[in-house]
Amino acid sequence: MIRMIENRKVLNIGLSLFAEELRHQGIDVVEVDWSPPPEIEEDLKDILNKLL
Amino acid sequence: MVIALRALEEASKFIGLAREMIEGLSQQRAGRYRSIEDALASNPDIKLAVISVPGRYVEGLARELIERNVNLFIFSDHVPLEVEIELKRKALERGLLVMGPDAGTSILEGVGFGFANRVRRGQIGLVGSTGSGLQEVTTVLDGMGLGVSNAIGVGGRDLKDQVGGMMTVQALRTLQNDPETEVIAVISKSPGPSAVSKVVEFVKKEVRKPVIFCLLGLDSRDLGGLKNVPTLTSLALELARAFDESVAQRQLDRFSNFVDSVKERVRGGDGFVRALYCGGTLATETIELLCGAGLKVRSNIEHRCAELLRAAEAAGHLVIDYGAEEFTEGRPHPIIDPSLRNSRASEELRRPEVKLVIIDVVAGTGAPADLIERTIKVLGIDGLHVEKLVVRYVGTPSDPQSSDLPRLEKSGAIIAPTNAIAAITSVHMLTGQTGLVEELLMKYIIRSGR
Repeated sequence: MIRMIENRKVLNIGLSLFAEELRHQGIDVVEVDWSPPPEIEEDLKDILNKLL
Repeated sequence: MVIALRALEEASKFIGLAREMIEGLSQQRAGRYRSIEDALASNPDIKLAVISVPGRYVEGLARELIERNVNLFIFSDHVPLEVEIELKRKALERGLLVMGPDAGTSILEGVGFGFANRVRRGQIGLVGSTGSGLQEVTTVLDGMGLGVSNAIGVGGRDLKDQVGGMMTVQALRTLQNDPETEVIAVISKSPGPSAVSKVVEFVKKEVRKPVIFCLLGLDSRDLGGLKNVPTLTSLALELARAFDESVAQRQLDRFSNFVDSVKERVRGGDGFVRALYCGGTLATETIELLCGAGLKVRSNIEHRCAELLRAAEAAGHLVIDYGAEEFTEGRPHPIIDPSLRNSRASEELRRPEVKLVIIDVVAGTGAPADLIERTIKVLGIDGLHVEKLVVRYVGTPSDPQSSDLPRLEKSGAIIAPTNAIAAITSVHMLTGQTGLVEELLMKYIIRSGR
């Protein structure tokens, strides 16, 4: 017993394929909805930084 | 009016509360949360997280989880090396394991993470900076009736000198303290000498269980008296010997019979081999064996005895790793979707100068359920009698894909019991030199473990 999944619970961030595979093995999978942060052009970021 | 306003305030409070409750319930029901903070607030007992977002976004997520004392399995590749080093340092300060980045496989307490096969549970613990290497060894062990306590994948770069084997050591510490583990194996491809020294030093000082190394691509096999075997197959045999010599002997007999059956079936002759892999460590192992046979090999993997080339080139003896980062940027890993590799294999099978094509068909979690059907279809081998295709099927009878295995066998493809045996078989097919094949079997499979 290496005490990482003794409660049969795992957090998944990313591919739902891995969450499904873990569920098939009897693991309670908690998922975080993740999407890439919006890309902001560097110059627009500078302007925003100055304004704020 | 005052009463009405108060009633409105109260009503909106209740509506807000009701909304929160409904949202909370639906989140719980679906098991999905908007943030790590929310997920861990509702599930404070979580001790392990799987991350598979694009590599450039891993750092922030991983750091937050480490700060919350969560161990990590990071499947993502393309994570900057300096980020990996920093994350592993922070994790070590808290006594946590960071498996990855670029961790293909782990099996923890019988549960497979990333790409893993359904193997028996047992007393063998493994640490690997390789996914396919762990899959190869655990499936070969399973075929001998032996099981795994834990197989800890620490990421492809953990034994590079810059990372220094931080998580290999942490995983060894974990297995040393694991009462189910009796024997330990460490697997890596092309490790750095200084990282290896650190691991060897740790093993000598701290580990009280037998440890066997399989460090492919290391210039020197001398580990200061510790056992280091040359192939994944010889590692599996050596692990078996730790429990029962006769099990290893029976398996050796099976391997010899297999090689003899191929010798009877296929005549050796001129031509080239095209070895096209989803698993990088299997590709590295094949380079070692072909080089050991004196063949001039070209590969997209940096290796001391292979000439580096672009993967699209087709000349001479080639070993190509389709799991290399050049193929996985913006594409799924070839174990999830092997179509690119399979298309190339189909082309190569039809080239007259190609004597044989070696492919790995990697079953288990993460691989498609119709893996074998797809492979047969893309290769266009259904109904043909193909004696120039050598397949290493990395799977166990318990993997869901294995029910289709008879279809692959019916196609006439030569299905090798291990990857090293596939490579040695290919040397017979390329050269027809019986003495050379016997020599390779002796050096890389039989004598190496003794």
